[in-house]
Amino acid sequence: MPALLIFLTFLGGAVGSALRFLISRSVDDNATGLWIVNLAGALVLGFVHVSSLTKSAKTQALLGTGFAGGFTTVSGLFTFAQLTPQGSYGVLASQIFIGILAYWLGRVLGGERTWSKS
Amino acid sequence: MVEVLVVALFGGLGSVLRSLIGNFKGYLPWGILAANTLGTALAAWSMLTQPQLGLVLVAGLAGGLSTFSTFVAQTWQLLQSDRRMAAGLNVLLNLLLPYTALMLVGFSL
Repeated sequence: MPALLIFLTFLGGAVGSALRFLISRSVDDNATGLWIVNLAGALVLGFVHVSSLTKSAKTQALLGTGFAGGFTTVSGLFTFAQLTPQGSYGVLASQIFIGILAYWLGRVLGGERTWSKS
Repeated sequence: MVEVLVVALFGGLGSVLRSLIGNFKGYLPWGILAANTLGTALAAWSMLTQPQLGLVLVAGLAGGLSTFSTFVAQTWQLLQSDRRMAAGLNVLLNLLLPYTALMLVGFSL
């Protein structure tokens, strides 16, 4: 992978992680904060994957792999599912289903109009 | 402010690691499965044994290494190409392996 793409992934991941940290710190319970973060990140990634504005490998690395990837997390969800009653495993499983819908919505917002076979 | 920068630095590092590991794909997107499992194990381990490094390891490195968005996107892509069995297996393993990692690290309350 070219050094520039690695750097852009680092940059996007750094901003995404810092933003996730700030959001999860500002809400009362971490599980709810991360739930919102993950759905928003899935939506952003769907948009980035299809929009004509984000086609280049550079924007994919910065906004897709970096930002949307670093913003969302699974590790925190699992540890908080274990720690707090709000973050049960049922909530975690339902998040996956809703997350797929959020990703799809992001693709539609990005300009995808048909359920096309890739 | 300093702690936000620390999370950003290690989150960036975790993201680069994930993008390298994420290249391993086959029947399933194994790389992201591995990143999510490793990230969860790392978060749980540091919460148990390295509480003073929580910011660096949990919010930063483990948070950047593991991902929800790419996992969901890959599951969607499997569904879209009619690989329902693989999609179901991907969801199941991304729940089961991080959970197992948590237990192996000794995270139970």
